[in-house]
Amino acid sequence: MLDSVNAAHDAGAVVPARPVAALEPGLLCRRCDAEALSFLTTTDLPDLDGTIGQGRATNALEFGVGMAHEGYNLFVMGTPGLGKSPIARGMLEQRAATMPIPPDCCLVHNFRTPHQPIALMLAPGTGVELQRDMRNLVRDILSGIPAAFDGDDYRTRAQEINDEFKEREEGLFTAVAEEAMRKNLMLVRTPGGWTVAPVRNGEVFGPEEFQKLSEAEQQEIERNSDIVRQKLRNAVQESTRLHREHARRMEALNTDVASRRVDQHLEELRAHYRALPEVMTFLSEVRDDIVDNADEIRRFAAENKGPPSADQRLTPFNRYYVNVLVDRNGSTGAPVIYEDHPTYQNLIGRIEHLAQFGTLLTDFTLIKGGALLRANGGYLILDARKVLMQPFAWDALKRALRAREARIQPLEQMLSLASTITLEPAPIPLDVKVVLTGDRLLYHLLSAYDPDFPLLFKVQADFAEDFARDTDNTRGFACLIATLQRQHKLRPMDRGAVARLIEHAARRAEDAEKLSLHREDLLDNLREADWWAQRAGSDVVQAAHVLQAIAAGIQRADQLRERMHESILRDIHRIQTSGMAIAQVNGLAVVLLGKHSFGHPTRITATAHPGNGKVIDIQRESELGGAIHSKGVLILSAFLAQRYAQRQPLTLAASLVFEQTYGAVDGDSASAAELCTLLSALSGLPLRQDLAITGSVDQHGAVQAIGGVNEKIEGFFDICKARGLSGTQGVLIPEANIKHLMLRDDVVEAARSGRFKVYAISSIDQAMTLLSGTQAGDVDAQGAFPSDTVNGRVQARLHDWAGLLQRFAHPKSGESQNDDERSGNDS
Amino acid sequence: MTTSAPETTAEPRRVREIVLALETDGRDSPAIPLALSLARHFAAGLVALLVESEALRRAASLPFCVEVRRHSGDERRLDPALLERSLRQALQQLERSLMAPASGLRVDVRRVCSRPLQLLDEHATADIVVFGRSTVSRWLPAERSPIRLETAATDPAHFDEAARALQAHTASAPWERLHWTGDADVLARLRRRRPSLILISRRDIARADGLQQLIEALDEPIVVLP
Repeated sequence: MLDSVNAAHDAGAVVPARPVAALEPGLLCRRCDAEALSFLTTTDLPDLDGTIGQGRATNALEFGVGMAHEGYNLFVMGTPGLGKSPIARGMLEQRAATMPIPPDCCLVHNFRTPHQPIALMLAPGTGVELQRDMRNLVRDILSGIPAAFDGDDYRTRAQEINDEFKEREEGLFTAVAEEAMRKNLMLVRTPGGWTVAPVRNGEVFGPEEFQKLSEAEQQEIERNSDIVRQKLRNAVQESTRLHREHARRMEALNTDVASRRVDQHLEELRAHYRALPEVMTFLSEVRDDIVDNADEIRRFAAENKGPPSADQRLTPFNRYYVNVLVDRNGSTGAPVIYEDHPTYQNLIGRIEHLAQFGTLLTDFTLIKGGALLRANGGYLILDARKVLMQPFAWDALKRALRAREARIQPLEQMLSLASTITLEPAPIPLDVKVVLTGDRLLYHLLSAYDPDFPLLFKVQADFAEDFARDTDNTRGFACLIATLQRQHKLRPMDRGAVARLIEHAARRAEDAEKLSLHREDLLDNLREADWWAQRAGSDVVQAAHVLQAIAAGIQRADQLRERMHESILRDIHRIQTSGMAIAQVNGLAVVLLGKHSFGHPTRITATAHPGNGKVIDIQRESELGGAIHSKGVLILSAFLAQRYAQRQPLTLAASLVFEQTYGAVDGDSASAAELCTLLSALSGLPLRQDLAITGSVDQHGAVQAIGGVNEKIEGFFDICKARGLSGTQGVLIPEANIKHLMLRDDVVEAARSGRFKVYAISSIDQAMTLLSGTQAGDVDAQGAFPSDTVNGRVQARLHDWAGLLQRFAHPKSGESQNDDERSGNDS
Repeated sequence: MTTSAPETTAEPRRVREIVLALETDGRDSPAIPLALSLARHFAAGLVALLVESEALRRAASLPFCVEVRRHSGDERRLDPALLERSLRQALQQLERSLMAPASGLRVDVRRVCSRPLQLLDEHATADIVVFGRSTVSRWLPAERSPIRLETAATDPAHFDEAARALQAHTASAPWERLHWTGDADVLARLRRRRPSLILISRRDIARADGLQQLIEALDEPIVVLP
């Protein structure tokens, strides 16, 4: 039937009206025959092997995880609840298990540039081992170094040096003293040093005695005194040099003692890590640093009586420690990390600080790795929306993927918010595949507005919302139910329950020929049905429990629908379900409340009078109509012009409105109803109020598919049923929507007993024929419609109005011309 | 400098004064804390003496007297006026250095022109005399044993109370005992042993010039008990 309609559209011709019969009850809901299912309960079914209905997405996932090249990160898209994350995670874990375990990631002190810690990538488990070894080393040197300097060996060697220098120094001054003695002089101590004085009989000369000497004797004494003083001065200077030499000798001794002890402790570590050049370099630098700082170590050991306790975060020995950012010990393959809270810090890492006496301090041991580092060598799963909502996280993620390295940089430093001294850890090479999950809108927005996105996320894994409801897939769906039931430790379900769930999945898909793939909804149904079975004391979930669960779920969310229907039934909202009325029809609307949706009738009215061809959409004029609704009104205006104004202007001014609506209206599913109302207004033919109509129209009058067909039918049915089904009531739906029908049992039952009808229409003429009880009328070769038909009456009315307008504009000529045209038409 | 004595209920004392005899370059001598400890232990007064030698006064009066500075080897003309100024400064420094650690003690600081043996005679009533010279040589090891210099007639118990008084300074190494076998021999042995301090009884000093030699030749503090 649809083919013929389309053919007519193609030709741009008027669609001929054909008689419309009510749909057979069998078409109103495609049942799943429980008896046809090849199992008794889900216990008989195997677990689902892999996924179902997601071939496109799983192929994309396989391709994406297999591609090692840059930029082949994945965006897994689909509406929430499709099971994107578990499916993707399952596939990633399966593949990750076959991949090599990536290395541990550690940070160590950079002895050359302390603010730039060095990253070490070590074999799995080695990081923690090295960390433990270095802690033990610190403990050992804190006891070993002081012990070495307290030992007899060191004391003896130090004393040997001291003795040597003391002897040399004493020798210097003894030689001077002896020289002085030979010259009858002696060294006398002064407050600041020495002086040389002449002696006789062991006593220093006084000035009087000196004056008594001959001039020659005095001169000789002075000369000798000068000589001795010069030697004394040389001795003092030599003594200073000896002190410097002594300091060097002692330093060399200290270095030697410290080196021997450190080498002793490091010997085992060097042997253990000799295959790791980076570790060997680190150990070598640690050795040199310990030797250089042996005095500090001795002081610390003396003051603290042991190694730093575990809760001491900042110690002088942190520089010998190892900060294991990522420990792969115990891993069985590549990591698959899901970061639920992808803040900048959780993604990239952070540098913590400790407050000490009002100052913020840090070192490399306070650096923490982020999810990128934990996932390095494997996969990182992130919720795209969460990443985008976290400040700076998205940019940081892109930067890391572009550069293929993780650079732990404090946010406060990036933003110049803090001026504390901080660290710049060396960037860590990154080999990670990021899997973003999100909805399609987000994917397309990112593709459109972020030029980096298509370069970094080249693989889209698009999860299907539903899949074909054929025999194989139905069995697969049953296996999915069985798998989820077992995974979540729920009661087994009998095949009747499974059949109801299959029907419900089709209803959720809004398509009798499809099954919804929303795992989360399905799981909710399973859990809730299980609860009802438990309450009923049943070990097996039966069809009744499923229906109870579904009904209860609807009932919980159904208050607004009840209120709206109550309002109609109390005639607060005027909806007629019997009789006839001109320029008034029952349209159908759907209200979406999260996961819950329901339909209800809405009264659409029209007015028409002579005018310039403009149809006023009151919804749009009052800014309560959406763009698509406005488009629908414009289309029906075009239809009127196309059908009735081929030989004369469209001399019509009309208005359309959804009566008693107080909120926004959108969508074009009421355009068929609006057109019927307008045609009724023009033709003067009353329309049946026991019928409701939904569908959009095109410019040729063909009725097109709409959404929410089940809810709409049920919405009108509920009102009619509440008022008492007359047997004439029913709903007109687009023929293309027949395949979407999954109506409630009570609606189907009413249809079966002839108390309610569903008509499928393909053209506006069929709708008008049904609603007015008058034939729509086919156009003849001259473009005229029979006068006793809907179209004929409309044509005549418009013709009258055209003449009327002409007479108003040109009172004399208009009259004769109008008469001519009328006579021509009649002929 | 005199400060009031602390109120004490100590046992009857035999020691009433500690005489600290420092050479003019001994203002930072390790003998100072020893003398302070003894004074506190015995609740005795401390008499700190900066001992000038007559030889130095005479030398400074000579027209060609030049001082060679200890650490730099620099020379400067030394005359009596300059010497006097230097000695006054040395005395002031000694007073300042004793001010805080001697808090609560009766302290008398003054200059004297004398010799060690004269000092012993001059302070006959003084109970303990501590001789100190300049800073201990840097060549000496940090931990050294104190030595009790004894003769055959020495009663070991005679040293016990003083040893207890000096416990804070000798805790890291045990006391050693050395017999006075002759001036030159003792001096040689002491130079080898490098004690942290020498404890000797006045009764055991057989020859006065032997003590004079020790004082002049050794850097270590020498504590002479009554």
